[in-house]
Amino acid sequence: MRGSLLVLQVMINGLLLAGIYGVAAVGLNLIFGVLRVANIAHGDFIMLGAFIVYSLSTLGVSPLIGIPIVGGVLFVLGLLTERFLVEKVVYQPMAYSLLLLYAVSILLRNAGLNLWTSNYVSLNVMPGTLHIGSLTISEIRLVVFIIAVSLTVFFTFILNKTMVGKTIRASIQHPDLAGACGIDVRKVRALTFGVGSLLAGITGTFFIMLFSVNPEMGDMMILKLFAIVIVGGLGNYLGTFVGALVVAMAETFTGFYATTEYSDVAVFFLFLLSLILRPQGLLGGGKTT
Amino acid sequence: MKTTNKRTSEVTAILWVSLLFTFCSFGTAEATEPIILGAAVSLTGNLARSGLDQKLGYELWKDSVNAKGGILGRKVDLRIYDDRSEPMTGAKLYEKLITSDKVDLLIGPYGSGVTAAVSTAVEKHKMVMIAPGASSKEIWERGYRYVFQMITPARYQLTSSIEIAKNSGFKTFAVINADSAFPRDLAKGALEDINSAGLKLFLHEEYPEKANDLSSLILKIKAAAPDALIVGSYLPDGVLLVRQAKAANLAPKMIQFGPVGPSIPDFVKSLGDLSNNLLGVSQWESSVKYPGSPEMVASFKKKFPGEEADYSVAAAYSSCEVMRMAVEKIRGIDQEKLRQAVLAMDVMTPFGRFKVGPAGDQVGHLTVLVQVLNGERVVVWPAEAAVQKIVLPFPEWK
Amino acid sequence: MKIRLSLLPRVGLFSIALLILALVPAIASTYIVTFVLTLFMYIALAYSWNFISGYTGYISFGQIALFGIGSYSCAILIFKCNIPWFLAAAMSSLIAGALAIPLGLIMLRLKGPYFAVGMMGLFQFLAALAAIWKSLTNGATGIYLPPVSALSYIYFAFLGLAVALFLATWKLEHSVFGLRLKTVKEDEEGAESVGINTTFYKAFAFVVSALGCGFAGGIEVFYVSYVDPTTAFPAVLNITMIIMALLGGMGTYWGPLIGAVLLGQVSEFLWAHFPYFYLIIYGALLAFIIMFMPSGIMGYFHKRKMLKGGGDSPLPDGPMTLKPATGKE
Repeated sequence: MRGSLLVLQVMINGLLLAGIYGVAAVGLNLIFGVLRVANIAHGDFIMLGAFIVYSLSTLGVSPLIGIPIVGGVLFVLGLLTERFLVEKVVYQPMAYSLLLLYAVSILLRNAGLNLWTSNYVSLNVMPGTLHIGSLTISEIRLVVFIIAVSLTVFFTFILNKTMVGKTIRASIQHPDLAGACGIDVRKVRALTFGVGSLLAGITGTFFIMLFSVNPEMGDMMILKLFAIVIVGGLGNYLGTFVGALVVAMAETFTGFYATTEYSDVAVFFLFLLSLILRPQGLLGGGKTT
Repeated sequence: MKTTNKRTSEVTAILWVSLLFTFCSFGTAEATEPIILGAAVSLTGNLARSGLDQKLGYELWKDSVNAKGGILGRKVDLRIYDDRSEPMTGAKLYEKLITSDKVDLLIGPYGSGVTAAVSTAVEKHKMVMIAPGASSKEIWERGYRYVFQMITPARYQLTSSIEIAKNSGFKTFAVINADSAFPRDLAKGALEDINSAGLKLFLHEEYPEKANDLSSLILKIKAAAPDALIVGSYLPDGVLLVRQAKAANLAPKMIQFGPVGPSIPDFVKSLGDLSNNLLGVSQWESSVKYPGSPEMVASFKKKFPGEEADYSVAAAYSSCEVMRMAVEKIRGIDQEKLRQAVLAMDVMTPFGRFKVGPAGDQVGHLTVLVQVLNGERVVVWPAEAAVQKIVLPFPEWK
Repeated sequence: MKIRLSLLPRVGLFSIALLILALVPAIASTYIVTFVLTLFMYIALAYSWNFISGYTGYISFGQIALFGIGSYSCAILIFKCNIPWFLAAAMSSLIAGALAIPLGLIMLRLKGPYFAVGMMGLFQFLAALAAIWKSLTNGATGIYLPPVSALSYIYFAFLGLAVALFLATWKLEHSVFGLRLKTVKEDEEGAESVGINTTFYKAFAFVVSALGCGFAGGIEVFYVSYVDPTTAFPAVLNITMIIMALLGGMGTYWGPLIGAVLLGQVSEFLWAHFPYFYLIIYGALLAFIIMFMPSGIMGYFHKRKMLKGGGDSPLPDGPMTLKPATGKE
C-alpha cells in the first residue's frame, strides 16, 4: 500500500477505535458529566454487561436478544446503586461518591472473579471485513462507530433541546428549586444513573465482541474513559466524542509512527496534559467550582 | 513361695510383653508417619486458573502414589496454601511451610514472578524445590542450587517451529511479542534461532499486553510482507491480533504462536473459525504417549470430571514424580543428597523428559507443535506425538 | 480524643511498646515476624496517605505512584550502582520526595475529583513509562535483586519508618504549622485570603507523603527481590492504604494506626478463612465506612465526645469540590 493510503488506513483504524471508546464514554458522561457522580465503577458495569451477554450466549441465547436483556439488568442495577448507595452521599463532596463507587468497583470485580474466574473470554460476532480498494474496515467496528455517533447526537439533542433534558439538568444544578417545581429530584437522579449504567452494559456487549474480557478489565478502561470525558469537557456530548477521537487517533498514530508500546504512555500523557492545561476540557462545560 | 514366684513370673511376662509391644508400636509409628509435601499455589488472583491446575495435579499424584503404597513405605500427605498470585505472599507461605509446618519436601508454585520470590526463601533454608510453573530464565541465573525447573524455558519453546519453517522454505520473518518477561524471552529465543539458521528478520516489535488496538502494528507487518509471523502473546492480545489480522487481510504463509494461543482452548473458542490453521506450541498435550501419561490422563478424568487436563496438571504431577524418584534413589529425604540426585537425573515422566543443567534449568524437555485443524487443536510434531500432518502454507482468510 | 496525660508517662508507654516490638524478631516465628513487618508497612503507607489526603483534604487515588518511584529507584540503585540496600532505600525516599516537588506543584492545582483521578492517571502513566523505558527499568521483564539475608533488617526498617511517620503526624497535629496546614482542608480560599501560602503547605504535605511512600517502596522491593511495572505500582496496596486511613479516621494522628492494625488483622483472618471472598468483604467494608462512618473510628469517638457540634467532616467541603449545588450559594 502506498504511503498516503497507509496513513488513511491508520486514520480509519483510529476512527473505528474511537467508536467503541465513544460508546463507552457516553454512559460515563451522563453519570459523571451530568449527574456529577464520579463513577469509578463504570468500567466494572461495562464488564458486567459483557459477562451477562456471554453467560447468556453459553446458554444458547443469541447476542441480539442478549443486548436488550443486558440493558434491562444494568438499568435496574444502576437504579438500585444510586437509590441505595450513592444517594446517601450525593450532597456530600464528590470525593465521597468516588470512594463509595470505588468500593462498588472492588465488589463487582471480585464477585466477577468468583463467578467467572480470571480467564479471558470473547464472542465471535460479525467477523467480516469491508474492502474498499486496498483499504479494510472491520464490519463490527463500523457498526459500533455508527452507534457511537447516533448516541452522541441523541444525547446532545435530548439534554439540550428537550424538556426531559432540562428536567435532568435542573435537578442537578438546583435540586431545591427543581423540587419546588414539583420534580422528584431523587427519582431523576436514580433514573439518570440507571440510563448511564444501561449504556455501560450495552458497551460491554460490544466489548466482548471486539476484545477479550475478564473480570478485571474495568481497571484498565476506566482511566481511559475518564480521560476521554474530561478531555472533551464534562457534560458535553460532542466534546466526549471529540475526546474519544483524540485518544483513539493518538493510539493508532503513535502505534504506527513509533510503536504500540508508546500508545499507552501517549494517552496518559495527553490526559495529564489536558488536566493541567485545560481542566474544563477541549469544548468546555466542565465547571471546576 | 510358690504363689509369689508365680506372681513374679506373671508380672515379668507381662512386663516383657508390654515392652515388646511398645518397641513394636514405636517402630510402626515411625513407619506410618506420612511424608508431607508442601506447596503454595495461586488459588485466587489472576494466576488462579493455572494454580488450581497445579493443585489438581498434586492431588492426583498423591492419590496415585498412595495407592501404590506411598514412598519408601510411607504415605504421602499434602499441605497446600493459596499465594493469591502474589510473590510476597508466596515467599511468606514457603517460610511458613519450612519453619513452622516443617514439611518434608517442597514443590513449586505457579508463575515465574511468584517462583522467583519463593525460590529465595527456599534457597535460604537449603531445601530442594522442583518448580513446575516457571519458565523465566532469570530464576536460574542467580546461582541458586536448590531450585529445579520442570518445564521448557521460553528460550527453546519455538526452536522446533523455526526449524520447520526453514524446512518448508520460508526465509523471512516478523516477530512480535507482548512486552513482559515471558513473551520477550520467547521472542528472543526465536530471534536467536532465526539468526543462527541464516534466515532474515524483517520486523521485530513489542506491544503492551493490554493493548486495545494492534491495527497499526499489523499494517507495519503487512508492509514488510514476511513469509512467517511469530507471535509471543497472551490470550487477549492474541485473540485481538487474529481478529485484526483478518480485518486487515494480513495472511503470511505461516502464523506461529507460542504456548499461549492455539494450544489454549479458550483461544480457539473465542475465535471460532478464525483459529483454523494457526500454529502453537505446548509443553504437553493429553494425546502424547510419554510413559505414564495416558494413565495419568485417564485417572484425572475419573477423579475430576468436567476439568480438562492441561499442561500445568501434567507438570505438577510429574514434578512430584521426579521428587519421588529422587527420594527412592537416595532412600531418604536428606536435602543435600536429594539435590545431588536431581542434578544427575535424566528420566522420562508423564510430562516428558526431565534433565536439568548445572544451574538447575531444564535442558531435556521439548515442546510439541499444535495446529488448529477443523476447529480442533491437534499435535502435528514431533512424529512420536503427532496426530495429524501439519498444514502449510497458511491459506487465505475467508 | 484528648487524653489529658502529662508527657512523661506517654513517652514511657511508647518506649515500652517499642521495646516489645523490637523483641519480636528474636522470639517469634518467621511467619509472625513477616506478618508484623507487613503491618508496619501498611501503617507507614496509611500515615503517608493521611498526611496529604487527611490533612489537606486532597484525596489522592494514586499515592502508590510515589511508592513505585521508590521501588524502582531502590532497585536500580542496588542493581546498577551496587549501593547497599538501606542506603538505596533512603536515597529512593529522597528521590521520591524530590520528584514530588514538581509533581505536587502540578497536580495540586487540580481540585477534588480531578486531583483524585489525576493521581490515578499519574500512577498509570508511570507504570506505562516503566514498561517502555527499558534501558532504565528493564521494561516489563523487571529487575531481579539478590535475596534478603535477614528478615529482621526489613522488620526494623519498616518499624522505624512507621514510627517516624507516626511521630511526624503527631508533631503536625501539635504545631502551628499543622494548624495552618489544616486550614487548607477547611477553607482554602479563606486561608489564602488571610495570607497563608496554601501552595507551600500542600506541597509540603505531598512531599512528606512521598518520602514515606518512597521509603516503603524501597524497603519492599528489597524484601521481595523483584520489581516490574505491575508489582511496583500494586493496585491493591493503593486501595488498602486509603481504606486503612479512612477506617481509623482521616486527619487524625491515631487513625491510620488503628485502621492499619485493625484491617491488617481482619484481612489476614478473612484471607485465611475465606480466600475467595476476602476482597469482596473489603469492598463491602469500604462502602459501609463511607456511607455510615466517614469519619472513621476516631471520628466516631470524637463525635460522641462532642455532642453539640458534631464531628468534623473529614472530607473537604466548599468551593474546591464538584457537588450538586444546594441552592445556598
